[in-house]
Amino acid sequence: MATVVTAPTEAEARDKFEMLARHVDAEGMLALRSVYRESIFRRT
Amino acid sequence: MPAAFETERSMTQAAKKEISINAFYANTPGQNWIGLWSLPGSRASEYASLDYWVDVARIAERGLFDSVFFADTNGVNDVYEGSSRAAIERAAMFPMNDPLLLIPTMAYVTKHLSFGVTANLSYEPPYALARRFSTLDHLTKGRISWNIVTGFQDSAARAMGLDRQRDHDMRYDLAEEYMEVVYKLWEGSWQDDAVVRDAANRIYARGDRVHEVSHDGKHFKSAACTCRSRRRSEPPFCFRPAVLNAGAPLPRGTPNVCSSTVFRAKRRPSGSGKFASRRERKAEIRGTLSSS
Repeated sequence: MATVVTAPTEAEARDKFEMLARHVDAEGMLALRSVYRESIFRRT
Repeated sequence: MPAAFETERSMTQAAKKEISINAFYANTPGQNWIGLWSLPGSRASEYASLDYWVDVARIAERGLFDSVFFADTNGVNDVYEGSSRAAIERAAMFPMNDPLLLIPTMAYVTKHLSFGVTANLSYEPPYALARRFSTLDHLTKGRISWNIVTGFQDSAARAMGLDRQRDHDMRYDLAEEYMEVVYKLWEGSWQDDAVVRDAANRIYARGDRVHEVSHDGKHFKSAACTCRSRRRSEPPFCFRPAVLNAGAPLPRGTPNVCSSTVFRAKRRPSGSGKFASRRERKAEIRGTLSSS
C-alpha cells in the first residue's frame, strides 16, 4: 500500500520548526561553532 | 493529443533540469543541529547500530533521494571554553564513528542511492585512502564519492601524534600533491584489459598490463601496483567543500561542492551504463509499492 505524502500547511510547518528549535542545544551549538570559527574562518 | 504535441512536450520535459536531493548525515548521534537526538521519536542515538543505517538507506532510496552525504571528523570540538566538556555532554558531532564502514551495508540494501563520504587526507598516506575508495568503488558499483578534506581540529592532529594541525595553506599544498598521487594510482596501474581469468592457463591477470606507479614528490613518495579501480577512465568521483575554497587548487579542477546542498556522481555509471533518472526510479519504486 503506497503512502501518500502531502505538503504541510504553513501552520504545521511552523509548529514543526518550533518543536525542532526547542530541542537544539545552545551550548552544544557553541561547542561546534567555536571550533569552526577558530579553525576555518580565521584560517589558523 | 496530436503526436506532434506529444513529441514537443517530451522534448521540453527532457530539457528540464532535475533537482537532485541529498540527505546530510554523520555517523554520530549529534550532527550539525546539536540536540535533535533528544527530540521525541528521534532514532539518532541508534547511530552505532547497522539496523539504523539500513533503515536510513532504504528510506532515502524509497523517497527518491539521489545521495546520502556523510560529514566526518577525527577529533573532538574542544575550543569552546577551552574544553571538550560541552561537546561530549551535548553530543556535538561527538562521538563520531567512521562513516566509510557503513557504506557497503547501505549500498547492499539499495540500488540507486549514491554515497558521498568525507575522508581526511592529512593523516594517512595516499595509497591507503586510494585503496579504500577503490574497494568501495567496486562494492558499490560506482556509487561512492569522496569529499576531500584536510581537517579543522587541533584535537584530531593531537590524536594522530602531532602537536597541532598544519597551517591551512600547507594542508592544501599537501592535498594537491596527495590527490595527484591518488589519481596516478587509480589510473596508472591496471589497464582495462589486464584481468583475463584464463583458468585453462592459470592466468588471472596479464603481468604486462599491470604497472607499478611511481611517485617521488615534494611531500609524498609511493611505488605501488594498486588495487584497480573498476575502470581506469572512471575513478571515484572526488570533490571538496566549497567553504574551504581558499586553498591551492586540487588536481583536474576537482569540483567544489557545498556539502549541505546536493552532489551527484554524474559521471559514474552503475553497472548498466548510467544512473537511472528519477522518473525511472519512481516507476520502479511505484511498482514495488503496488505489489507489496
